[in-house]
Amino acid sequence: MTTAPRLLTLIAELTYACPQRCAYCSNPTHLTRQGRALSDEDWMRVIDDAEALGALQVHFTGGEPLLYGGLARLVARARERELYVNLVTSGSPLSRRRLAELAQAGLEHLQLSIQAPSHDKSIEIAGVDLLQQKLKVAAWAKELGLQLTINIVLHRENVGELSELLALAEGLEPHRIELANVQYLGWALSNRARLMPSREELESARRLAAAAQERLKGRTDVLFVLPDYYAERPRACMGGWAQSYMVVTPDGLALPCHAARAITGLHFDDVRRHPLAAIWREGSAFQEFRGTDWHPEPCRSCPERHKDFGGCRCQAFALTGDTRATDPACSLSPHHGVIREARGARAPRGELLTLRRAPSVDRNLQ
Amino acid sequence: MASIAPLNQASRPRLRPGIRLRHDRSSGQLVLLAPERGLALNASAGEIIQRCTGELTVEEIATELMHIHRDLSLPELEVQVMHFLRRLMDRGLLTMEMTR
Repeated sequence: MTTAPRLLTLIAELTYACPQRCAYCSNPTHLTRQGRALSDEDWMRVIDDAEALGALQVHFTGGEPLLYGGLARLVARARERELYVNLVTSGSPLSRRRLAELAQAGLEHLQLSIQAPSHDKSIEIAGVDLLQQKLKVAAWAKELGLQLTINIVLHRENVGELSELLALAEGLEPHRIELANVQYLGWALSNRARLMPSREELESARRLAAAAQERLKGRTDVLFVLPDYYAERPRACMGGWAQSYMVVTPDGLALPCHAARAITGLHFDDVRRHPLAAIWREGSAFQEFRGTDWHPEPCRSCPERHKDFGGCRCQAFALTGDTRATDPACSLSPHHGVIREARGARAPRGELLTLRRAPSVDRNLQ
Repeated sequence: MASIAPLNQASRPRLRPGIRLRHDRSSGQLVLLAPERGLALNASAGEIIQRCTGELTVEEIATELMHIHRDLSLPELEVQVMHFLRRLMDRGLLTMEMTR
């Protein structure tokens, strides 16, 4: 049942800089301890080595990957290596001409985020209004023959407008619509009381998603991802720790997941100092929670341990202080109470989001 | 959407733009690459998908595969091919060229 770990997907975080300032950003909350940024040449070697290890996909992401000047060169390199090339983006800054260049270089799939159906709400959530720009980018992507995913991160601030959001997204005729509820790590954990939907809001969103799935069958795939806090069983985060994903940060650290940098006590190797294959196979952070042998109870004797791998390590660390603990999202966890309490501890509506990542300054900006 | 042509013996299936077939060195299999997905294909699935170029009709594809599936009649094979193609269509990976 357990298959051998195999790197399938490289997640290349090209920069932490971003025009948006979402209160649930998955980038680290402390950006001060960054090392030197990777160069184009470093990234090309990472791409080559990931493919040699077996990777089939690369996600160029960030921050905002469009702020990385050498993006087209990296896209071309990845495509040369036959990797499936995804770009995860806010859609800004981007002209039609640059998108055409990226498509020409080998880009195949654009995942475009939309925060809200209105300008005011977009500003409230992302700190900037890019809605018109995003609509243009979606149309260009279709014209250029790219696969298009509209990604909508759901939380209390926009879950009530899901009908409008779906109508907007459907109008763009994307291939996929991803309705991903916020997971409460990093920035989102700091803003949890403000972002957490109620069970009723979530149920109603789930019904809308199911109706859209039915309505759009064969044209647009609609995915709905529950927040861990309402799931009762943990997610196999990243398909299991170090099972198929590797994240490389703008400053060259190889991580088993986006949020892993927040776990203190783990050592992450620099891709400039060690071969990627060695990091993947023997790197201490990758080995630490790979598989199921390290599991404590209640995971150790749980029949679902090969399915969910004990859930999310970052969440376990953030909520219990113990990285080896069962993910408290699991109702069998002795710490599950903190999840139940958080569902109820919602800040009064209308209270401003106080914690937000600062406007970005980045060395890669050219 | 350009064409929502029906699926029958005369349809010409083609992978949607941005969906790509590649050889996977590790497994020796063909994989179908799509956003967030890589579908490992068994030998017969690979034989079908390699022929989904928008040129051949379902009937022509089934005819070409007759030598691999000697136990099946052409109509039986067509039904199986269409059943497989339908699943790919439902997952948004395949489209049908309008009959020419």
